[in-house]
Amino acid sequence: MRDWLLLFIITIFLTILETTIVPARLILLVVLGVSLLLPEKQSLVFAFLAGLILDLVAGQTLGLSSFGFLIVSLFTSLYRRKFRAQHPAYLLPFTFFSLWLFAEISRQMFFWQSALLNTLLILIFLPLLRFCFPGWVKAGLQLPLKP
Amino acid sequence: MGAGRTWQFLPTFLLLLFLSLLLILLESRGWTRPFHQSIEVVVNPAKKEIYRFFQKKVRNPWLFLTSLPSQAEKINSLQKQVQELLPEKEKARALLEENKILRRQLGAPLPPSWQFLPAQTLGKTDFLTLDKGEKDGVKVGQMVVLENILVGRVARILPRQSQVELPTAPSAKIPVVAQETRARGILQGQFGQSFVLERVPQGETLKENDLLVTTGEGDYLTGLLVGKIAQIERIETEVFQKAQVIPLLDYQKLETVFLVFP
Repeated sequence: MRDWLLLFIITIFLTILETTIVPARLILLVVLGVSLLLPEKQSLVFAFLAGLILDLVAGQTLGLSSFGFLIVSLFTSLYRRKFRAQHPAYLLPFTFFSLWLFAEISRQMFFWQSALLNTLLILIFLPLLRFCFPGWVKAGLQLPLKP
Repeated sequence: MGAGRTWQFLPTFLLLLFLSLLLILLESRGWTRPFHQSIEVVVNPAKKEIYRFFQKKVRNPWLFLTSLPSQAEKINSLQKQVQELLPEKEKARALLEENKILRRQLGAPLPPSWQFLPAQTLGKTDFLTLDKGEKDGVKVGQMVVLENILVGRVARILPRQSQVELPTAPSAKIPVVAQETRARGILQGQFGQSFVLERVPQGETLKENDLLVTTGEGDYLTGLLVGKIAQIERIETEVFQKAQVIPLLDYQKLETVFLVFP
């Protein structure tokens, strides 16, 4: 419960940053990280709720970000079954692809230059998530958390 | 891991996907406005405070970080006195600043029939977010100015917020004319950072440091300054010439802007 509360506090804070001063897809990166570290069901629920938070704070169409995050989370779950998704060689191209996919779904402009910078951010986000939530198990092999 | 177990999460996924689509449908009919309204009441002040802190304090992040240790001691010793005076000082500063901005706006060379609604900026990412929305009479397509300089055009409105498309946005295409040479062209935003003047016929004259103003076409009001020509790019074999244009405003530093009611 504590981990979920902390995760949502971090998500709300990052959402406010993303909608005011930081022109980066922070929440999408968090969704990606969570989808790589948690089992599928929990990742999907988080993706949905994170999308709602982002839409409400940013004033965007409610449900659109949730829709996009769910698709990205699904692809991430499928991807990590086939590849060592947390290895940078697989993680970076997949992150770039996820940014493009989310931009297409949410009908936003996609700039490959800023997408590249966002892609590099996942190398910071993923270790940070592991650090903040040491109880999570990689690749969702077990269910360490109960929301 | 068998296929059955692999897809155990599918019902959850489909349910959440359905909920998302349902929310999108409800949003399209305007039924989610009460949620947006109640969230904006809470979130707008927080966004404004964070954005102002960033604008005022974190202009030079390295300087800010390295000065923290010495600042901490100084702050501790002065805190008692400052605590009593700070609210009053802030109130007075805000009023003085607002007064100055309003006076400048009223003195700007714009048609006297135009009316202005001041709005505070809440953040700048792909759009500039303002704290005025549908409840304040704001409409999509409305111009936003600071004095007689174009800030942008309202692209999206919410009950208490609006999002402004800046001239530097890639989707912005503003018909402009150079003040001195009267050359006409289209100002095209680039990557949210700058803009370029395009589609200027080769026969027209462009001059560096010439100011560009809106022509009144393309749903933009006429006579608003937008930028200054910096570098002209002219290739004789091409039909059009172009020029790099410098914005007249630092969009990151805007605190108060004005919505125009012509």
